Amino acid sequence: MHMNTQIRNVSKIRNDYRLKPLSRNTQQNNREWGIGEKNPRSGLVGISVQHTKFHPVYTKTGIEDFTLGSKFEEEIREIADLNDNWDEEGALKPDYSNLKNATLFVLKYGNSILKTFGKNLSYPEINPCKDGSIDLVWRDKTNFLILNFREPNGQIANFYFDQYDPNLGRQGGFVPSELDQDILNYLKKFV
Amino acid sequence: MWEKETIPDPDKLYFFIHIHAMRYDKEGNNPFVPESSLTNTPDSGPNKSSDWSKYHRPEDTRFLRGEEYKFGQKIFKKPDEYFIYSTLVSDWRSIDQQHGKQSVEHDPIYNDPIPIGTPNNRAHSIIIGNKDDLKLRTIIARSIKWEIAPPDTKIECKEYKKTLGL
Repeated sequence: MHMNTQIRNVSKIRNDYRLKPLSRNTQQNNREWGIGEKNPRSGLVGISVQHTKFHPVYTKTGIEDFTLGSKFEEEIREIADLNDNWDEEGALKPDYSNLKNATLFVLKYGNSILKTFGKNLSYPEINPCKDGSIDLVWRDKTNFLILNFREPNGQIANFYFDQYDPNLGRQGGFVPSELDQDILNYLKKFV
Repeated sequence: MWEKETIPDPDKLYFFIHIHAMRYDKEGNNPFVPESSLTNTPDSGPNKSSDWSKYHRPEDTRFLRGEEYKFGQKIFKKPDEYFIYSTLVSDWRSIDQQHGKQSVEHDPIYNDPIPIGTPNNRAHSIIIGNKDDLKLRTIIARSIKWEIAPPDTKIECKEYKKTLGL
């Protein structure tokens, strides 16, 4: 692929996190998640600390004033619409709390990266697991990070990171509601 | 009745994945089997079914789906909704203990008479062991090769789903 085309594509993806016009508000499904716009006075934002007040909202009842990139929203909606046995092999419907915790994670860490480094975190793949848990995956040519949210109370999530050499892979658990420096360092590789 | 045999490390195992479970990259290209599809299934437990290449071709694995009932229903699966991928036996056996040791065993299915919805399958093999570990899922996902691949793009896949009535 031509370099300019690559740059345009990357830029397009990252722009999904930026400001969105009010007319492109999220859908009802996302309201049910608590990530759609419920308060019209706040305007719509992506992961942009210049225009959001992420932490106070997160620590109250959810992220009511926030929305995500359109592509990521679309993926979330597709997963939210899945029913039991979505894989025809007995998979469980994605757990609402796991899905919400994964989404909150993206917002929280995306905000932190933008605030600290002035760069937008690329949006991850969001993949439903057969047991109702949720995977978030960032992957590029040199780095790979997968997170799994399976604790509905959101107190702990699991991660695995490598640079395509499993012998040097790192894995463990972390507390998503706190800013984990190791996880932040891994995510910095995807801005 | 078929006897259980020892499956050699270099042999292939064939797996099927439903069209709803496979994924495309962010640009909507390059279909792949996500790490998430390798997790344990709650009702059937951590063991994963596959077909041994000694007795099946990928086409056989896909064809046999049409003789199986859908999970929890007395409705036959539609083979066209499934795609087939493979791994080597050694990919599973080389996972170390720390990340969830996996053993691969031949497990032929034979019944006489054959129950409707549960076909005989001499190729049937199982991979025994918990598959929740993220490193395990990552390593296995990277070893996967398509044998009967989905449409090349997400747009084409949506069109294909329409033709299947999905």
